[in-house]
Amino acid sequence: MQNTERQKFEENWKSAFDGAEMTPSDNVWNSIELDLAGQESATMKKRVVFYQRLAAATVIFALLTGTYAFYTNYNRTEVKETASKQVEKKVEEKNSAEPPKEDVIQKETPVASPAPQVAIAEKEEGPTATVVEEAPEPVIAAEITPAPETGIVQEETKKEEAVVSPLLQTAPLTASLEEQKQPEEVIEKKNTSRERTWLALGAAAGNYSPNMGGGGGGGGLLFSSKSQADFQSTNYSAIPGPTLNNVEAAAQNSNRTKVGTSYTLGVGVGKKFGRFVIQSGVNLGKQQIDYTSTYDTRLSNNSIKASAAFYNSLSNTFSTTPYTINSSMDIISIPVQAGYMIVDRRLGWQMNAGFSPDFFLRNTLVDKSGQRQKFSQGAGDDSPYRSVNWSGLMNTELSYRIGDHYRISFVPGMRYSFTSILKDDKTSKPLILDVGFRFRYMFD
Amino acid sequence: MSNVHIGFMLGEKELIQGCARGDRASQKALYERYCKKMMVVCLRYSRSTQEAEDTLQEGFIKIFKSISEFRGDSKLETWITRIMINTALNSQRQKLYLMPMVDVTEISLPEREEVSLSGFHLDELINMVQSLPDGCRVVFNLFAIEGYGHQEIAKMLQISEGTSKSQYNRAKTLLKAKLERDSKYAKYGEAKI
Repeated sequence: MQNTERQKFEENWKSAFDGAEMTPSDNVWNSIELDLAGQESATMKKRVVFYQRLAAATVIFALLTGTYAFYTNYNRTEVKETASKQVEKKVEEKNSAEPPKEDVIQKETPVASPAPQVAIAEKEEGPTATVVEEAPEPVIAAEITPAPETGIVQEETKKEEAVVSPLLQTAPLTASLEEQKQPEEVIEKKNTSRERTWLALGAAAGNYSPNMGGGGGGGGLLFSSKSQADFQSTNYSAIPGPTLNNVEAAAQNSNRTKVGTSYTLGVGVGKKFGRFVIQSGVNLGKQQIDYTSTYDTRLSNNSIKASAAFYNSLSNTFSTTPYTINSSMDIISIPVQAGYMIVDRRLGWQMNAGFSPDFFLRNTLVDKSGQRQKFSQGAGDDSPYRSVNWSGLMNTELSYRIGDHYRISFVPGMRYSFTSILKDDKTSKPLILDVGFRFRYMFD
Repeated sequence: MSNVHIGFMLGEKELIQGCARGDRASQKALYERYCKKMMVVCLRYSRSTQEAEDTLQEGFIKIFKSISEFRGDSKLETWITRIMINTALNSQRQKLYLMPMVDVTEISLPEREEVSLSGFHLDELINMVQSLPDGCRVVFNLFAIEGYGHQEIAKMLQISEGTSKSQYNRAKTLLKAKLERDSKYAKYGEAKI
């Protein structure tokens, strides 16, 4: 009996709560949403840090390689020039001291090997220093390398080179190397040297870190001291929502780590001078970010529009409960970049750096809950945005030629604003890390 | 299987996939679908509404974090409820650690007429459960509502089986007394608390 009663007691309670429902307050979801947004931002921030480090490592690697390549090329040219000068000087001295004898010419010409070029080629497979070691006797070198068409004077010169120093030996051998390059390499060099002017189409996408003093957003500074004071004094809530306390503070914290997305589409032109490149063009950019706003705008017709903290000087802008907003900024930029081609073959590798004036077009704020109307702000005196901003650009361009006139490129890069995008706030200098693709048409 | 049921199943699957992708609209839809039931679960384990809402918030964040691990072996609601109970137990564990449960003397009340719960509002029943001492409340919920045995409860709360039983009996005695008192008030037309 007692056992049955026990079961009945438990069953009664179980059925009393079975399917029971109670509505929690709106604060719960708001707090969950802010927590989730904070976690996403933290994850994005980790990714941004990773990409920043990757970009920095790429830039350092490219700079080191470029410096090494440049230094090596410079040294080689210098050695060649020094060697040529010394040889010329020696020849002149010799010519002035011992005038050429006709009988020597007659005597030495028949000794010429039937295949002198082959002999040179065999010697030239190794480093030039080895060649010198293998040919210690200048007489032997002269015997195996006579070229009837070059004449005895050049033969005498070669003898002198071997005698003067091993360094001098490199000059004619290097020249021979140039002459004996594989035909494909020669064709490739001719092709790349033809790529002097081009037109390019490009697109890029990447991370957008607003670096706003108060928290970020393409929409600009979100929380100012004035806005926080507003919360404490006159808390106007146009749209019903949770009360402001720790939720508002959480909104500020979550905004500080916000990262958005950046998209760029553009056309460009380029011109090559040796290994140096000058590029320019026109880009259309869109930078988007979601963040928590605590402002909206009331209009005379009772409609409410989305807003952000930097509009708080306007008479019809009021602080309200936190809500999620999407800010989308459109700009036109004219990048001007100088580059250096580290590898200039079918596969190309170049480093570019430059600057870009960015012309602000508009910023659109959209309340993601749909409770407020969207709001667009253009450029002008009444706009909180600067009409023109200056950004620094740096990127690496890895390219591949896919035809006589076409080349495709993979372009990881970064863009950092030198100037603040907001008039009243000097810290709003966005950083963009993106990856782009370019398609080049070469005119020649 | 009816079309309505298929639609519901598809909807739930899409919700889970959306939440796993981190889609905010799917997360909100899932929250709105289950928050009311889960609020009752949290209220049963808490002392106050504020405490219950904190547990609810923490529980849903855990759910969104780990929903990609949900394999569909059980019903989604069962899985969510389990996470919510674990979250509630974790928040209660700290209290239980500070004030450990001990065996309490079983008070045998005289046999009384079983009081029906049908005359009570949900709010009143929740208040009664919330008014129980922490240890009793947890054991009562796990045994009477969730259906765990005393051995399982003992393992979960790291207490002895005897302690679980004595805590439950105490909870039962206290609840019966409250039900009886409130029923009397109701009989005599007095206002309930």
